[in-house]
Amino acid sequence: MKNMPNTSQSKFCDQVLEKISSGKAKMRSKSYFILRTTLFLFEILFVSFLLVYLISFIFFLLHETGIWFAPSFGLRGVQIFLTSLPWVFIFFIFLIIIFLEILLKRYTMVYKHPFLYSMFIIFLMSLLFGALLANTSLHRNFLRQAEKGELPLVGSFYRGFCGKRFSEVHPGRVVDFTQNVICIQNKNGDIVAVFIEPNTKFPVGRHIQKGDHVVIMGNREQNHILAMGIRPVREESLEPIEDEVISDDAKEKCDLVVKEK
Amino acid sequence: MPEKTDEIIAQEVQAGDTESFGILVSRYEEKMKRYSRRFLFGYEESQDVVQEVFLKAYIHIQSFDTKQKFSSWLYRIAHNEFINAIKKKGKEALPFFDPDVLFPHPVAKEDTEDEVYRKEIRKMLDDCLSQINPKYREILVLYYFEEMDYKEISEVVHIPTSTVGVRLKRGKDTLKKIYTKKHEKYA
Repeated sequence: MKNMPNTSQSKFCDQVLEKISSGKAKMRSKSYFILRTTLFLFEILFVSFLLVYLISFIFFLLHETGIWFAPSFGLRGVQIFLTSLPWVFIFFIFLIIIFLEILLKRYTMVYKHPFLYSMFIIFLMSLLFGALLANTSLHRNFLRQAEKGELPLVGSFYRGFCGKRFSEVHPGRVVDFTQNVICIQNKNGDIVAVFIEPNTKFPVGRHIQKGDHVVIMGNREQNHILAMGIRPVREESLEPIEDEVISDDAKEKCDLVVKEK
Repeated sequence: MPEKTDEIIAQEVQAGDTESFGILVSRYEEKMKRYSRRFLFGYEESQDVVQEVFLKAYIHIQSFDTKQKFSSWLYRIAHNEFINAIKKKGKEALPFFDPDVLFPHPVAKEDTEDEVYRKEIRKMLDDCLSQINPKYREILVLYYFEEMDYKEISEVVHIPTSTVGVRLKRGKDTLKKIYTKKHEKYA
């Protein structure tokens, strides 16, 4: 049986119903809310992906430039690591986290807990997924395409950040070595002589051979580095430079560079 | 015949029975008016705002999940409309960001206050409403006049339950100070 409205309903109630029946207030359809929710979920997914992508890019960038390994050289390395972090990027990521938090605040699971808890969880999840994404070949492939000029929009972004050189951290590949000098070839093809000093640190041991990827900590002057620290790096951390990159006359160039000093 | 629940009536409205919406309006008219009179104390257009609340509820009725409580949903709409009214008027400052919701607070147990104490607070509230910050005023009104618990208030205002407890305590402390000061002045 249909529930009849109360015959003694108030004037206020009549006014509300009158506005509804006159069309001043129209009920929005269910599809409108389904569409709105869908768009909102897409917005959340997009922002989440952007966050994970940017964090994974930072992981990739730190590995690519060798900065990731700087803390293994001790306090000075930690200092270099902290000062070399892309802080503007990190600040931007922080803003995205806040924005994502605001988007998610309409859900009970988020608003029922203090802001900091949910921010922390968002941050942790982004770090985890960012690390996982950084381990794939996505950024590596983008960088290759960017270096060939084949990556639209974000090509300069990859070239700019990944091509950045730091004065005290130098990744490269060993092309030749003696007891006291290691020659490395960097991504630009430069041959750099690394001089081992008595206080040079070897955080993971001295066993280095030709072809190894290494990260050197020390100040570079022209083509010489007085090494404060040397560490080999596993291939999965740094992309193996294709064999063709190590030039045939690398040893001769190495000898020349050593003589220059 | 047992009275239909709000949620069943809302379902009927969703199905197209506009007349049934009148039942919901009748049921909540006085509550909404009371809530608005106290939260929007001194705002002449508070009754117009209440009308807006019901119209918004009708417009958005299809978004209401009938498995949830209708009253919480309606109070949430009312909260949003009242906040908009305060912002529009610009008479009272509403902070963009509230540090209360940033940090965790120790979970305060809901006080089982006796009715005499509650009456006393209501009396003080009626006397000093306009002088209390809207942030605390709303919580006090919802707790002492609308007789909601922490969980229900949390759902209306969208803040953590612990923050409800903190605001309630601060609101009561502020209220007592204002009331004491006011009555000392006239003593």
